[in-house]
Amino acid sequence: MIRSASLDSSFWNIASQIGLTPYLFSYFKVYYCRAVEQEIVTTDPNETPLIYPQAMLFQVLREDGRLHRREPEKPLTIFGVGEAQAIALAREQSWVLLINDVRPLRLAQDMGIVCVAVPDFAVFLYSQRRITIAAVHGYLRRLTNTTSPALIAQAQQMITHIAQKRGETL
Amino acid sequence: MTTITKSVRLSPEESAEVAQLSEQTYMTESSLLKKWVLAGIKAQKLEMAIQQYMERKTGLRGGASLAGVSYNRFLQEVEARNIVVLEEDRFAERLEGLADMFGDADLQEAILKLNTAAQ
Repeated sequence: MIRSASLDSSFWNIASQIGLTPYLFSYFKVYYCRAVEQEIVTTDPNETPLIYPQAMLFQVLREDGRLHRREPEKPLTIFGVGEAQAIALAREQSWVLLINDVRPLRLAQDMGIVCVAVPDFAVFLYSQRRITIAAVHGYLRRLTNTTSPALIAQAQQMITHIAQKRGETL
Repeated sequence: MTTITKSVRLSPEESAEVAQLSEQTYMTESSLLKKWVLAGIKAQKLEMAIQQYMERKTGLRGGASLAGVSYNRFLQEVEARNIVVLEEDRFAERLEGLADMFGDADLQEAILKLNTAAQ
C-alpha cells in the first residue's frame, strides 16, 4: 500500500546524499510545498554556480511526475518557512512527515504526526527485504557524521535482531 | 551608495603587513580591509549560527537564515563539522509507526526486543 507523505528538505537532502531516495516511491506518494522546493533547489549564486546533486535529483524526479506539489491551507507560524509548511501539510492531511532535523522533528512528533527520518527508513527497507544487510549497514555508516551514535547503535541492534531471525550474517 | 567610515588602530608591525599585502595583491589598503571585514562578518555569522544550531536553539532553516546563507550551504557546513542533526530520542516510536503502517511483523518483533532489552 502506498501512503501519502509530506516532504521536508532535511529528509530529502540527507536521503539523496546517501542514495536512499529512489526507494521512497515504493512506499510513499511524496508531496512537497513550494517553500521546501525552494530550499532544496536554491544555491547561493554568489558562492557557487554548482547545482547540488540533491537539487538535481529533485528537479529530475519532479519533472518525471514522482513528486507532487501541495500547499497547506494554514501554514504554521513557527520555525522556518519550509518546515512550517511541511509540518502543516502533514498535520492537515494526516500524512506521514519525512523529516531529518531534530528540532522540528520533535515538534512534529509532539503534535502527533507520524514521522520518518532517514535512518528509520533504511532499517525499514532492510526489514522489508528491499536491501541487503550489507547495504543497510553501509547506509548507516554514511549517516554517522550527522546522526547520534546512540541512534546508530539502536538501528544496528534492530538489524541484528532481524538478521538473527532470518539466519543472515554480514 | 552612502558609506560610513570605521577606524581601527593597528600596531606599526600590523600596519606594515597590511601595506605589504596591499602591494602584493595590487589592492588599495582600504579595499583590502573592507574585503577582510566583509569576509569576517560572514564567517562570524556562520559560526554563531552553527553554535545556535548545536545548542538546539534553532533548526537547519533558522541556522541558514541567521548565517545569511542558503539551506543547502548551511547543511553542508553542519555536515563538514560532523554536527549531529538527528538524536536518538523516539527512534523506536518512529519505527513502530512505520512497522504498523505497513504491517511489518519482523520490524515489530525487533522493536519489541529492543524495548525489552532497554528496560
